[in-house]
Amino acid sequence: MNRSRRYEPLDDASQVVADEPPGAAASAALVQDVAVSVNYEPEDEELAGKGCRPRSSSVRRPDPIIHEKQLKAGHYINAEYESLDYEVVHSDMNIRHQLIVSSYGTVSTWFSRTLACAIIGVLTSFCAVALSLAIDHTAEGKFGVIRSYMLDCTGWRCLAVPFSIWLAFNLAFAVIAFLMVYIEPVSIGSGIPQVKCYLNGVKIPRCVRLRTLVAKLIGVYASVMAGLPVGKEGPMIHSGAVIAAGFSQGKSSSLKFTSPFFKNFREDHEKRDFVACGTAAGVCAAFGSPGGGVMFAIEEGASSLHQDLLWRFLFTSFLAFMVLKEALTYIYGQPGHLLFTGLLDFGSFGQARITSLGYEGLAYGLLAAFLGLLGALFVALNVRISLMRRRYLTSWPLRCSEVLLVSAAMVLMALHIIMVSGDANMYGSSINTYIRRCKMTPDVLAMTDMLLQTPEAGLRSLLHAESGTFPLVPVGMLAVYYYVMTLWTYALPVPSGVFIPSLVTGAAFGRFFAVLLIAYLPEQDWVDPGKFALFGAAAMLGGVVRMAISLTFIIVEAAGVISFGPLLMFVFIISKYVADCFNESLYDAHIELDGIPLLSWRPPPQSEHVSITKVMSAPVRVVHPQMTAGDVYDLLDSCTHNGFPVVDPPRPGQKPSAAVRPAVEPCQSDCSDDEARVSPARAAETAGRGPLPHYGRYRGLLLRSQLVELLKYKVYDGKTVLYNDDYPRYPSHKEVHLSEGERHMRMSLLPYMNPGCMVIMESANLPRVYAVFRALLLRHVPVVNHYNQVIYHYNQLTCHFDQVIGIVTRKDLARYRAGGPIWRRSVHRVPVWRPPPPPSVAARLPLRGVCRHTLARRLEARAELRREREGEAGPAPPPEPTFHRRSPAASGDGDGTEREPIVV
Amino acid sequence: MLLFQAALVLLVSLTACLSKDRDCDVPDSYHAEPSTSTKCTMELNNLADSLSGISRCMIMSARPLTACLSCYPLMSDLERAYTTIVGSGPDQSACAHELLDRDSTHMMLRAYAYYTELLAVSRCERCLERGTNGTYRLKDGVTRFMDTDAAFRRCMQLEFPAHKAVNASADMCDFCRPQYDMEQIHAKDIIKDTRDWQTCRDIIDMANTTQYMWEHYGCDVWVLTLERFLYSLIPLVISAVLIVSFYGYVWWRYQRLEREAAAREAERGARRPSVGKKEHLYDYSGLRRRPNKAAMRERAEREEREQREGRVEDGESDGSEETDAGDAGKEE
Repeated sequence: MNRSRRYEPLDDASQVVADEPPGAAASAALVQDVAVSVNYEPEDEELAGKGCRPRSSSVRRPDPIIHEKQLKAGHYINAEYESLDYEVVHSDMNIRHQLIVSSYGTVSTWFSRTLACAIIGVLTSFCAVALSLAIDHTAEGKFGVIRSYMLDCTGWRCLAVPFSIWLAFNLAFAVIAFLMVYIEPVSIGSGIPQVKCYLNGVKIPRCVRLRTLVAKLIGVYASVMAGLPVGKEGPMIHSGAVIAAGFSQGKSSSLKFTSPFFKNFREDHEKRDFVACGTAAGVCAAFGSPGGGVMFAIEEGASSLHQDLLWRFLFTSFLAFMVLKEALTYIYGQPGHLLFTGLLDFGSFGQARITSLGYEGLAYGLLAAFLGLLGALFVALNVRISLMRRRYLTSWPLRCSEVLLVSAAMVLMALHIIMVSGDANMYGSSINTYIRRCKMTPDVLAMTDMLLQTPEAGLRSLLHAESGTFPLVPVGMLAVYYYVMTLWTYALPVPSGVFIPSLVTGAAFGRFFAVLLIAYLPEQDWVDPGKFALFGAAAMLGGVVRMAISLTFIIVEAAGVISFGPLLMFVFIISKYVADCFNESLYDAHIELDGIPLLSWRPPPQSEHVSITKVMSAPVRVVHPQMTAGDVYDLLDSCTHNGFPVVDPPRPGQKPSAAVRPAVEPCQSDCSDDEARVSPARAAETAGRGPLPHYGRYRGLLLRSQLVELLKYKVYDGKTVLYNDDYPRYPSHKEVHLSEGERHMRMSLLPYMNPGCMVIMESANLPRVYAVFRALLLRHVPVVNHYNQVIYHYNQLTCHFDQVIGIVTRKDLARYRAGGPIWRRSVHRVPVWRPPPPPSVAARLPLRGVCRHTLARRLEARAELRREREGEAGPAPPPEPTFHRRSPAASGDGDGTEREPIVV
Repeated sequence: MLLFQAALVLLVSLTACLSKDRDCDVPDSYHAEPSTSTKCTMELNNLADSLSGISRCMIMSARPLTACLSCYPLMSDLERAYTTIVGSGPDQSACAHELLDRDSTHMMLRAYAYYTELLAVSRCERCLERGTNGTYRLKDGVTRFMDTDAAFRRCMQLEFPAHKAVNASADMCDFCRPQYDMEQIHAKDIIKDTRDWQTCRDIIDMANTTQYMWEHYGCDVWVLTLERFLYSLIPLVISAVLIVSFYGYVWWRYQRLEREAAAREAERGARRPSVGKKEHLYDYSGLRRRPNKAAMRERAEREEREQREGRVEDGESDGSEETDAGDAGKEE
């Protein structure tokens, strides 16, 4: 083995196998095809034979407060998600770059920012206008055809013709909507969780790409036309974010286009600010609510706020608002009148006022509490449905079939409501005309008009229809059906928003509540079905998405009645607090379901006793100020870390192996966190060499992307300024070719490292690190000792590296979560899931110095490859994500030996 | 010098004007004691008569609502009287200034605005069309509808020989159904677009009243009978069948795949348990791409070529590692 060509963190790796480590039993069993537990643990006798104290006598006890979560769906962190580098790198070279930039002047940067925001606002509005027009015109044509057939219908039997046409329309559009998700899977759902993650430092791959935007817009158009209970508002917010991410950079990786404009904004933190502006513009375009857009960006999106950014929010929202209004008024032939609002128009409530709270406020409060409960139930059930969907619907044809099934069920639901209610047709459903009942055909129903329009228009009908338009039974059925269908629809593989269906469901429940009150309290003149529908819609939305602040602004601005504001706040507060007693919001639940390491706003409660040494990742990989290109390449090739602390090289005379390399398993991407632990034999051997207190004095931090760029541009002199030309898609180190001569070239890394990177002392506890991490949206925090050394501890009593001081990453902190209903809410530590490499890759990876299960997997992959080559076996099955979790019984009852995530 | 004189005259005039404490824009004659001329008084009288006439007509036509259908002959007179006073054109008199320029509140304009609002609410313009001499007349479709509606009501109230019927309601329905069907046909001809009415409110209300009357006598009354309810369950049953079939198939398929996977693993020799294999599969995260078939084909071709050339991809070191590991296992 040529060790000079491969970075090998274990200097004694070869001896480990030769000395028959305890883990060899598992390996042998695997080789001999004997089924063994993947959670193999050495016996206490085995440990005692190595001179170590058995684990059963370990000092540490299970944490009485923090509960270990079992690895199951919905309770894990997916290690594949990477973080964004929001921390500004103040390296020497970046400072030089900044000096070059500053020669253009601060004014030019300010102007560029403003121009970028203006472009974002204008383009977001244009997208909203295009989407709105497309939906309106297509819906008019579709429902016009259906109505014409329905009006000629004089009995319920003839309803088969219009409903067949309706069904055909729906199925065709459902296929289109599904195809968009098939083409670009990230375009699923509303996109708000993805944008929220992006703004809070988690990189969702392909979330802000051009193809995602196209798939989102076409998909949501088709979803609405397919008759699904979805809205276009959430996708519009995502679209605003994509537009912002694309046009603020002055380049497009998809179109292979790079312009000289906005070059200085090609950094994660700059892009994040623009994406937040785009989010605000998207909300504004969707709801016609500039204030709501700003508040949404503050409440949900922006993780780093300052006054200048707030002004940019306001500017972008305002511009989007004005352009949207102007464009709509111009298109509808009334230029300059500013009559139209955003994509969602609540219609005018005229002179409606709420003058007293009395019984009316009490009724609204009860309604809000009830709908808050329904919102919590919605989240819980939708999570369960999503889990089932992910488990069983694993093929694309089945997923498409489910979309078609939901779309067909919507038509059948409408047919059932119409046949049961048997009321009358309603003419003039538009709020601009008069809403009246006209019993022209006995079997065409009042509810028909409600159903024969887009969900937005249906919402307006519920808000503004006169009292008595909707009878008790049909509107109750509509509420229940819409609730169930929305529950079924959200997280289907189509672009869909949950705002509108929640509003429609809440409005239907509110109207049902009002009709009920009118029936039992006919003399109470304060019972207005329209108002009840509005407050019901608000309460349902608050119970589902829990964004009380921004929703208050959005609905007040969309409804246009400022006097409703206090009561809307009251309703939102009640529904949110009631729902929060049971679970988290729908978006947060789906973020958790996806295993995204998103940090909540505050550290988990009752975690003050958790030391940072229990939380951090290990092992950490370090680099020295001077390294050869080959060493850097091998380092990158040997692990998937993204942050490398720069430490001083070992002192002259000090054994490099003893001083700078810990005796831990090398990090490979297919090691689970439980596997990333040292074998006791090796630990004992390493411990016998004397204290290994640290990696070296901490100097700064380098990112993987920086190292790859240095290799790519062959920067060996330490004087070349690097620009972000490859941002945001940095190449892999595998794309860099190094000749044999170049491998021995020395690289000076000091000018490129970030010397001011945040570090944390080893004595800090979890809440402290959490607060710092969350406030600054960091990606890595190296943990140092009192001598500013990146060190690790070794517990000689248990022969376990239970305190490897290294680096804290987002995934380390995101594992700690507060969850459960309020009466048994507690802090959980969820496991980290890492996908194994594909067999073709695993077969080529080395077998030495890897953890047991990695070894087994690679052996199996090699055997598979050999069988394939020999033609004895068919094609290898596709790789399946496998989880390895040590059972509590085998883990020593939480003796502190749990290893932390490896991937940084 | 001339310019100076002109400025002086202007200054003196302005001072004189202001010293009188009056509005200089108003002619002197207006500041005399106001007295309406006879001509204007007559025009006012005409307007008042027309307004009161049409107001009375509309109010008297409130129930059943036939405001447009009954009062359209009066509209042209009113509009002519109003146009004479304030409108433009050859008929305009000089009374506009006299009647409108002195007061802050113009009752005449407000009364006419009330009238136009009534027309807008009733949407009379959708039932009427204007003739060449400014008079209004009903549209042909409206006339036909009114005729058939009148025929139907006449049938219901006058022509039906109630004393001959054993079952009055049923017989009446049969007796008057031709008129009713005809009325419905003409109503649908008028009310074409349900989103934006193509006719006036009178027609809508008249059709509704006829419909109520028809149902009042027990004709075609919609009742949720057991039969209707059972028929309404058909969509639900279809939905349930579809849902159960689909998810039943999905469940069956999942079980079959599990069994096949278990059998395959047993055949190959299970080396690791398949706990939680597919629990976390999530294809929409953006983390995974569907395999690029072209790339896969290219890679397969490359591997095949390499294999054909006799190159061993695993180097010596890898081979020795495998041997080491295998040996370690055997020792154990």
